[in-house]
Amino acid sequence: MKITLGPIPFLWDEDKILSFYKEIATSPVSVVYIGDVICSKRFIPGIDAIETIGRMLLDAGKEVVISTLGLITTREELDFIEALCRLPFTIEANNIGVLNTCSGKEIIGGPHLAIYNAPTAKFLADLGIQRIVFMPELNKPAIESISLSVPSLEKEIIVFGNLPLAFSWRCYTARAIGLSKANCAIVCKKYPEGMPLETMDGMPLFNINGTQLMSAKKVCMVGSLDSLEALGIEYLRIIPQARNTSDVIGIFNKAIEGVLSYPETREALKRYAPEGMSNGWFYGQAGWEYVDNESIKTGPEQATQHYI
Amino acid sequence: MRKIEICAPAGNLPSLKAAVDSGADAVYMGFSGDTNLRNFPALNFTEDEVYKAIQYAHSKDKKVFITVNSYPQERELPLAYGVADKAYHFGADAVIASDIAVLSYIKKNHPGKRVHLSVQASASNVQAIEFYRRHFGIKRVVLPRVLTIDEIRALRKETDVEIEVFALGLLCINSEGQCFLSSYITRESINTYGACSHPKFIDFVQDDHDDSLKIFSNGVLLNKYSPAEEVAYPTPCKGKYYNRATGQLNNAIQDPESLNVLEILPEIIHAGVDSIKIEGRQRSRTYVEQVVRTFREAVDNYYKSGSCKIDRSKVQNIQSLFEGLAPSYGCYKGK
Repeated sequence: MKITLGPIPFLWDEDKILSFYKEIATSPVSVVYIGDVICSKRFIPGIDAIETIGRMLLDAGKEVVISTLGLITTREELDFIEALCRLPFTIEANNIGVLNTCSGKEIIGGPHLAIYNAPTAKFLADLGIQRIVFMPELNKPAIESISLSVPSLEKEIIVFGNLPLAFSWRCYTARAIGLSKANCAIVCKKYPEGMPLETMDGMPLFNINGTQLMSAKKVCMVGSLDSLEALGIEYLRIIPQARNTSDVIGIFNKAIEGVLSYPETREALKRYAPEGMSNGWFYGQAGWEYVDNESIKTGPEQATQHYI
Repeated sequence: MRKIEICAPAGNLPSLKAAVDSGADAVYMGFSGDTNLRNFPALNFTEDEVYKAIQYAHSKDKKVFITVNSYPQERELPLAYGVADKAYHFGADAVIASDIAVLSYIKKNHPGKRVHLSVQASASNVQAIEFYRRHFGIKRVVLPRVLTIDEIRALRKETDVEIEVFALGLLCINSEGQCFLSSYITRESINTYGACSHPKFIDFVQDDHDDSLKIFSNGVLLNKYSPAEEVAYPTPCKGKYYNRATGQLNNAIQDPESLNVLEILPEIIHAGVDSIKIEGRQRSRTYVEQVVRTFREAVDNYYKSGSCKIDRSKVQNIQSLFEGLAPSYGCYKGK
C-alpha cells in the first residue's frame, strides 16, 4: 500500500507551504496532491508557484497531482482550472465540470465527486479516469461493490485527518468574524487549522475552513488497513495538518510495514487528534463515531467508543 | 415571450390537485421510498396515485416531473431504475435525476425521453451542465442554491439547457449533493437515504433545571431553546455551536431562515430563468395552494405590467408558513 498526501485544506502563508512541501519531499509519501480545493480567492500564489512546487516534488521522485475546486460557480474559476490542466501534471477533479474542461488529461476522481455505486465508477473509468478517491460517507459494502465491479480503477481512501463534510457559497470563516465572502480580506489565513465548532455541551463537531465545513475529529483508519487492502485499495490518503503531518505519515508507514501494532499506532495517532478520532462511516455508523478494531470481532454493538 | 414556469411540490394527491388548480404549470413529486429527496413517513405516491396524478395534471394541460434524485447504492439501483421505468410508462413529462447510473439507465432504456438534472447533482457551472448534456442529453438543470442572479445571468448566456432555480422554501446553505452533515451526525445520508436530519434520530428533551428545550440528533446536541424562542426544524446547519476561535456561541452555519424571492422575482425572470421551483413536498395541501396562488399572481402581474407587485399581506401570509424562519434571498443578491 502507498501513502498519499491530500491537498492542504487550509490557507497557509507561502513560506509555510514551501517549507512544508520541502519536508514532504523527503517523506515516505508516494503521491502528493497540491493546489486548492476550497476557494478561488486562495489562488493568490498563482500557477507559477504551483508549478514550482510540483516540479520540486517530481524531482524528489513523487507522483504529483493538482487538485481542483470542489465547487465552481464562475467563468474565471473555470479558466483558472483550464490553465492548471495545461501544466504537466495529473489533475484531480472534485467537480464534474472539470471532466469536461480537462478532457484528454490524466484525471483522478477526487473525494468530492458523487460516486455512490459501481455503474457510476464504471462510467467514469470508461471516460479514462485512472483512480478514484472514495467519498468519506461511503460504508464498507458500498466501497466493496465499487471496488469489485471495477477492478481496473485504482482506489484511494482518506485514512487520517479532518474529513470534508460540506461546501457552501458562504464563507463560514468570514461570517464568524462579521464579514461577507465578497469582502473577506482572505481572513482564513489567520486560522491555519480552521475554527473548531463544539456543540453546546462541549462535543467537538465541525471545523470551519472558509467555504468548507470539515469534521472536528480526525478520521483514523489505521485499524482497518487489512480490510482496505482486501478491498483492493492501494492508496492511503493523509490530509495535511498545520503541525506534525510528517509524524502522522511516519506512523502510517510503520503500520504498513508491520513495525507497529494497531494499538501502538492508535495510541500514537491519538496525540495528533486532540478533538478525537472517528471511523464510523466505514462501519455503517455515524461519521463521528469510532469503532475500535480490537473489539470489532466481539460485535459492533459493544465496539463504539464515542469519545476516544 | 414565454412565461416563466411555476414548478410546484406535491407530497400526495390532494396537494397535486391543489397545485394544479392554483396555477402551477408543472408539479414535481416522488414515489414512496428512498428514491427521492423527501423520504419521510406517510409522504409521496404509490404507483396508483402517480398514475392518477399524471392523469389529473394532463387533463388540465399541466406537467408532472418525477424525482428519482437520491444517489442509489448498489442494492437500491433496481428500485431506482424501476421508478424511472414506471414514471415514463405512466406518462410523466420528465424524470429528475442526479446519479450517473440512473442517468445512464434512462439514456439507454428510454432514449429521447426528457430528463432534468436534479439540484442534487450540484451542476453550478457551464462545464458541469455541458457534461450532463453531452453524456445524458439533459434538457434542464435545477441549479444548486450557490449562485447569485448575476452568475445565473452569465450562465444563461453560455448554455441552451433550460434553467430552473429555487424560489421559495427551506434553504440549503451547502452545495446540494456535497453535504454530509446529516450523515456525519446520524449515519443516514441525505444523498443516499433522501432525508436530512430524519425524525427518527431527533429527540426533544425538556430540561426542567433551566426550563429549556434541548434538541438532540442521534445523541448530538444541536440546539437549546428558551421557552420564548421559536423552534425551527433541527437540521445540523441550523444548530447552535460554540466557535472556539472566536469564543462565540451562535448559529455558526446558518441563521433560522427560509428562501423567498417574491420581491426579486423580476430580476430572476430577467436573468433568463425558465422555471421557478417551490420547495416543500413534505408540506400540507394548504401550503401548496397558498404559495402557488401567490406566485401565480406575482408572475402574471409581471407579464401584464412589468411588476410583480402583490399585496403586502399576501407576502406576509407566505412567510408565516415558515414558523420561526426569517425570509432570505439566499445568495441571489450577493455572497
